[in-house]
Amino acid sequence: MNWLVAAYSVFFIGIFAYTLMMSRKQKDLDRRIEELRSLIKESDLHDS
Amino acid sequence: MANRTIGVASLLGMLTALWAVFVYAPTEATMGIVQRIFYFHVSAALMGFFAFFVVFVSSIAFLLKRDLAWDRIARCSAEIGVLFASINLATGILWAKPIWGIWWTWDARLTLQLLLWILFVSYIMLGAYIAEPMKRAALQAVFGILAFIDVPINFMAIRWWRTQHPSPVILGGEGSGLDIDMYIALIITMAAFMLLYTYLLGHRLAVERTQEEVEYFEQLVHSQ
Amino acid sequence: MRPLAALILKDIAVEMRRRESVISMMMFGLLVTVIFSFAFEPSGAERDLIAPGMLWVALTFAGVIGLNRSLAIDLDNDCLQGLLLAPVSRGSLYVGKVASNFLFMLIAELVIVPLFIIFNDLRLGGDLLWLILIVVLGTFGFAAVGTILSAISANTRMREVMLPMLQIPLTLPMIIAAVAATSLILGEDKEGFGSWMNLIIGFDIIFLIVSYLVFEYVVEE
Repeated sequence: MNWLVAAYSVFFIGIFAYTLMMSRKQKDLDRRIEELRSLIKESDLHDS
Repeated sequence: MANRTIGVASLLGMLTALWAVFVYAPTEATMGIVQRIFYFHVSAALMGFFAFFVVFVSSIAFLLKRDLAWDRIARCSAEIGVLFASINLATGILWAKPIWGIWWTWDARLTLQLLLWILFVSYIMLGAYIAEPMKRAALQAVFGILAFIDVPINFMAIRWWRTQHPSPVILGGEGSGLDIDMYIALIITMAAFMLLYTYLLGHRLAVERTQEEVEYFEQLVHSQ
Repeated sequence: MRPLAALILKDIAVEMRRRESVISMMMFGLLVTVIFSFAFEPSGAERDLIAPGMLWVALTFAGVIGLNRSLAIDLDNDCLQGLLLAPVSRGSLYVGKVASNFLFMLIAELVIVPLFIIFNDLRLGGDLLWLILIVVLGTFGFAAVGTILSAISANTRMREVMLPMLQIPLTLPMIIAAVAATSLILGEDKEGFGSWMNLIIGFDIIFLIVSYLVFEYVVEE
């Protein structure tokens, strides 16, 4: 019985962990893009 | 986003599958309730194989079209394939112990599944050690094609090897005399897994595209 | 045909100078044989059970050494660039390389296999011819796969270290078949020998053709 629980836990923990990692990565990347965009805007303003 | 819909669908699919596995399917005579691991274990194995197939097709497409979009699909599918293959191996081990008292045996199925896992990981590692994108994509594509062709040959070899030197077969009565209800439960589970794979792939592809966008902007900023 | 012969002769000429590849393969094959004899210390009947596996582990590792040497030689002084500039089709480059790798491995095995038979006191009699066939066909598959994989690993940061990582999983079915066929030869019951040989031959043909087709994608700039 315990083995059954363990096996299914492995599955669900694995899937959820992976999905959560991806979501966090996505958020981090989105934030980084905003940073970079504003950096580019600033230097554009400086140039002109 | 379309992927969100698929996400919801796969969640519903999973719930249905759980119902099918724990409520609908009958208890197996010899192994008892532990046997219910079978449905997710086999589905994970099949999805791992399917993910590899996607890597194969995308690799060919990349070599023909030179479009990095195909390379992206291949790489993301490989990663998700490793996930499914790992789950497959882990559930296999957790099934073997209570049934046979051993953690592992080199029977045909487990050996092949381990090999699939190793090929996936080799594919990913190869990509990690090459810098230039187009070159990396081409080399990974070539390896992806060679590796996938290797799988059916391995299947035959390991099968023959094991008929000559039999060892305890983990999936004992599987395939031989499956109850019709069990078949249905298995099919429901496999459908749910397919939805899950599609959702994960979509999600992973989105992250990868954003990653490439970030790298593009980084280059832009650094060149100023 | 001419460019192919030229490629092979070039590799032979390079090898004749210092004989690095062949000698290191021989030594390594011998070393593995010795290590296994100490690690397992089998006697009589057990020896026959372990011997096929030992032999093919020795040949596999010796083969990897040879492929890595061959790769390193080509990378030195940008020989690969030179080859690519030559008016030779990519496919011919591949076949030529396979041929020379195959040749050098065979030469090394001319030493490794007899020594292995002697050290393990294997009784073969007429079956020796079958063993030679298995070794030749197995080595060919090894060379076919190893050549394209070493071209791939040449492009990685890990270089030669990447090669065995890619090669061993890919050549696994052939190794299984070779070991199985070898143990059938050493034993009484020869049943199934044909199917194993078919697998090795099939493996060789399939991978030779596929590698020939995709090789250009590996070496292009």
